[in-house]
Amino acid sequence: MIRKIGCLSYTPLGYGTPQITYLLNSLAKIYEPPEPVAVFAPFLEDYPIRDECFPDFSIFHFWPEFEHQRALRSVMPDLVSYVRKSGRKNIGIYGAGTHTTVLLRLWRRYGGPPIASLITTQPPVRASF
Amino acid sequence: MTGVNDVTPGSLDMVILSSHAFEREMAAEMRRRHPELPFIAIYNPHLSHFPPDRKVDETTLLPHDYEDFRCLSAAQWIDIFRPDLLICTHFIYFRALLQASHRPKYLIYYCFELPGGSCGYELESRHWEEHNSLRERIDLAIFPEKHRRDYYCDLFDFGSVPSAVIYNARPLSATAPVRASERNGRILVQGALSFRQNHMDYLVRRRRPIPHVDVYGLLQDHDPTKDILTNPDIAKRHGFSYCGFLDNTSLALRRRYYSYLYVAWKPLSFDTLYACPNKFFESIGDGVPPIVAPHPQCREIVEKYDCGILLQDWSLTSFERGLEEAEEVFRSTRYDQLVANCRQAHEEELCWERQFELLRPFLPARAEQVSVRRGERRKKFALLDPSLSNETGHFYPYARHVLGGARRLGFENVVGTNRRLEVDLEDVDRLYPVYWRDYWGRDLSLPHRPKREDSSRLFVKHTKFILEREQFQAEDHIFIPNISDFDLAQLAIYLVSELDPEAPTWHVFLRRDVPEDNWTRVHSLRVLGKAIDRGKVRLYTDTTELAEQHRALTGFSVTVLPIPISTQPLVPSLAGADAPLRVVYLGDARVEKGFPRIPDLVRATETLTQRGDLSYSIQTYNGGSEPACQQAAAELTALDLGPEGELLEDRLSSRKYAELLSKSDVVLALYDRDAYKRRSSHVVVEALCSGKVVLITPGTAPASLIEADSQWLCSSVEIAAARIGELVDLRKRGVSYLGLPEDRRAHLADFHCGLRLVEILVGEAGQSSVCTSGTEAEQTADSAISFRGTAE
Repeated sequence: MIRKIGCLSYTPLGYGTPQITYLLNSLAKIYEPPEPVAVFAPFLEDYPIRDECFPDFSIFHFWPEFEHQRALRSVMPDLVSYVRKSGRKNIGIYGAGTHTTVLLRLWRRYGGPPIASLITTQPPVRASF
Repeated sequence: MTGVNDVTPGSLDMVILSSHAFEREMAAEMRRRHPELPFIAIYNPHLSHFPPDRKVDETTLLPHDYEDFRCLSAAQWIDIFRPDLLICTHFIYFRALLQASHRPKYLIYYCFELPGGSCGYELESRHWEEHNSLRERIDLAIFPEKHRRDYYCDLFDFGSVPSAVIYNARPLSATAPVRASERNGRILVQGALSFRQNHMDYLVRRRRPIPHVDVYGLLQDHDPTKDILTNPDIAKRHGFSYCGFLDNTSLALRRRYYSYLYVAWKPLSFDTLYACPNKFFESIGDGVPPIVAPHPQCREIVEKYDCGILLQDWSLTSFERGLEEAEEVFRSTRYDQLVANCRQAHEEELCWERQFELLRPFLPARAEQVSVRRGERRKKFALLDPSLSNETGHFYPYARHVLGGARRLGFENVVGTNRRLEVDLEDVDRLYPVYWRDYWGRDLSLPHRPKREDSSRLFVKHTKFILEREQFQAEDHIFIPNISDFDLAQLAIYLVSELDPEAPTWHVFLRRDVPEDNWTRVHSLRVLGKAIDRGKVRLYTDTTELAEQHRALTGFSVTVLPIPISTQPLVPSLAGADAPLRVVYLGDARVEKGFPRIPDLVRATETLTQRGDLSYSIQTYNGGSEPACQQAAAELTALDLGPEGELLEDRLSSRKYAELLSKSDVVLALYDRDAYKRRSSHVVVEALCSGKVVLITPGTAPASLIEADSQWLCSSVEIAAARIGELVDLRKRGVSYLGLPEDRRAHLADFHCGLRLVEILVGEAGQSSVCTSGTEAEQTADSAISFRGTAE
């Protein structure tokens, strides 16, 4: 008996691979589960949310930024220690998005030296940090 | 900020790359532009350019554990939702499937991406282990291309796994293709725009700037394609336009008016050679003939249906010839034939409906679904709480206690929660994690996003979703334990419009004071008047003071409910006479909770903390939201909190909260008198029921839970400090103490339980009571008891 349908989507719904939603809709049509179809999907900054297009789904947005925060938290003590021991004073950060916001916060928390410059390829996502 | 080209030589000693997605490109850029400058690539440390005098073992700087985080979240999600049928769309989730305790009855693996291909997922030994572990559990593996299936099954020894190949088709189009005369004569390019994977350079290398090409897709930083496509001079000269990044739906609306779609991937890897592009099938579905490189699946389809222009190979020459042919064919009868053939292919085979039929033989039978639905109907109890998502705050324990009570009364439990549900709820028959926004209008999935003005519209929309699915009847009950004034306003309009004798009874809990400067709630309740009069909507609070305020302002009866907590007393502190007295501040650090007064209290008792007789455990979470709290939190970091003192910077889980309460001797509730004049406090009730001493501001609603002349009523920090001193002395003399006399504590604990709450909710349909005098506990307990007599 199929009462609950779930999906681990590797892509945000509404972009890229619509067959995921086609399949979910087809299965829901067959089994008519009382509960909404549950979807675990990543949220990516460049992809505006399209939840309104999927009224029968309950979408749990996993924010990969959390992964990055965790990654940075795990590496930051060693990174700060390495930079300090290297004796180098003028440190630049290449990047200016949300990842950098997190990095800078942790950098300060772990006692990293002042950042001399933020380097960007494109215009920054945020004007100031 | 400095552009990467503008970094002055010598101005920097070292650079740290800050991107997960573009770290490789950044590393390449750094090596190209500034070969002398050391840099560190965090996620790919082997790409780093370490200074020669400070070489390092790369693994030292490699982040650890983070790859597990997504899988841990996904595993937790599986265990919470417990799907019977689960679709896994990528092998990156295999670890989650193995970590989850719940095993779906039917597992579908829809394999879109190949390892080691263009998607960038490199194969590691663990991937083989995971495939081996899951081989027997996968009921169906779906592939979009037959060569891909063969390759994958061979690679992972998946020959024994039932599998099917279906095209990446889209649903059957309801509309006929746009007529050739209405087409714009242009070529459409859509999808991934990558210099490495596509031939975007062909746009500037072709000899003639016709036909015009429109390009849609996401441009990525660090990709040369961006420079090509976003340069208006180049675009004009070479006959193309970059039209931005659109979602599928918006793009589909435009695609129908194009004359052709160009589809080609550089055949550099197995998956790009054996491409099975969505856009190819979407284009055919729209009657837009594709100009396509000879990827085997595309070649097969174009040859079978004669529905497009097939390029000879992937070269620039073939590209140019294909476009020339397209130009010649357009507006000829041949073009009309191509369009007609596209439509025929779409209807006969290349649509989702036909492809899904290929899966039907593999799917579990549906027959038994019906028999269960014909079973006997139980009365339903629905709890709807958009703020319920995790263990922090009172939402989760509150729901747990209430649902436990409803279950004991034999109800079928239905729960609506925030879609970001991360806790496992017991006693739930059907779960609807559908709410996007919480009490404050925040999207808990995306905490960095701004609140939306239409969150209350969404609240009603999502509530209606549950109502439509559940088909509640007059014997059912819907309880909303937490509702904002804006949500209430929208709900009131909806409920009144749907007023029906067969409708369920709605129980609305009003948790906070009516704001002096905002009468939205009063207005909403008046809108609900007819429904309230008919007993279809009932109102509740959890203090007599709050009930009285609402009654006075609206004229409607408001019932006081218990505050459901664990009725088992928590384990009392077993600390000996020599151990320090443990004083705790629990709850978010807010002005209304008296947090700014805590540093003064700590200072006033510093002789005790310095002597080792007193310790403070203080939750400082949320200290940054109000300046006074921020200041207080900063002051506390510099103060002596005693031998076991601690500041708790994060929100507390239910477990940690209970642990802290259990170990405490004294709980601080030095709340602002005005803010808590009518509001309840879960912390105070739980602490009193656990036998703790609670120092409470007199004149607040929580203060009515203890005697009016209690020594634990503290109108100032000085009095609180004196009481703490007295308690330290008592402990040293081996004297035991309780916040309340035992019989009173037991009475209070007995009343504040989930079962009692649901009994009042369910039993009182058609009746009402307002408690206006005496202590809240006595009043509400009496109310509930007398009601039970009536019901019997």
